[in-house]
Amino acid sequence: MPVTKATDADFQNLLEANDKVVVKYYADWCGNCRLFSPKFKRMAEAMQEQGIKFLDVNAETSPEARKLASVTNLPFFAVFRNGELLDTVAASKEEAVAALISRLN
Amino acid sequence: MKMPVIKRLVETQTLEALVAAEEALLEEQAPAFEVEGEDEGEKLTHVFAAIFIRNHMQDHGSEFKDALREYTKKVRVSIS
Repeated sequence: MPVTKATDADFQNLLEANDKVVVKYYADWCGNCRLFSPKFKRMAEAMQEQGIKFLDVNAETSPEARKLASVTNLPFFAVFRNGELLDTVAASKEEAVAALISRLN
Repeated sequence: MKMPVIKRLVETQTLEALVAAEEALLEEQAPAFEVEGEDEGEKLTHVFAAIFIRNHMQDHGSEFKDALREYTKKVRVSIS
């Protein structure tokens, strides 16, 4: 399953349409966000059988989506189940993000 | 992110050199000049910032401090 770019315009709809969602919040000025992109894509491909929707949200240009997860640093990750925020982590390590995603199961 | 590091990059490197450094870091190679930072991500952030500020100074004829203010505004709005 590829990583889907989301914005304030479609974020809520994507949360409602998918039971399990993991979001990576990033910004163009953030070096660690850029370096994490290929890892996030790999994780999405590796977990495509688990029915988890992977979203990329530009925190700078999507304030509503950003505030929904109370983004404090970047890159920032959030998991949603049935449209509800379950947990978050600000991290650049793949292990921390994998641990967060495991909360969905 | 360390503002003195960004300032030094703006003062000592051309836009072309900064773009080349960005490409090198993204390809996990060493840039042609030293970029300070705790890890590759922070180094890349410093280079992104220097590129933004140099472009802003060039496009708007602004001084460093004004371009830096625009940059910090971008950062603040992303995490507030």
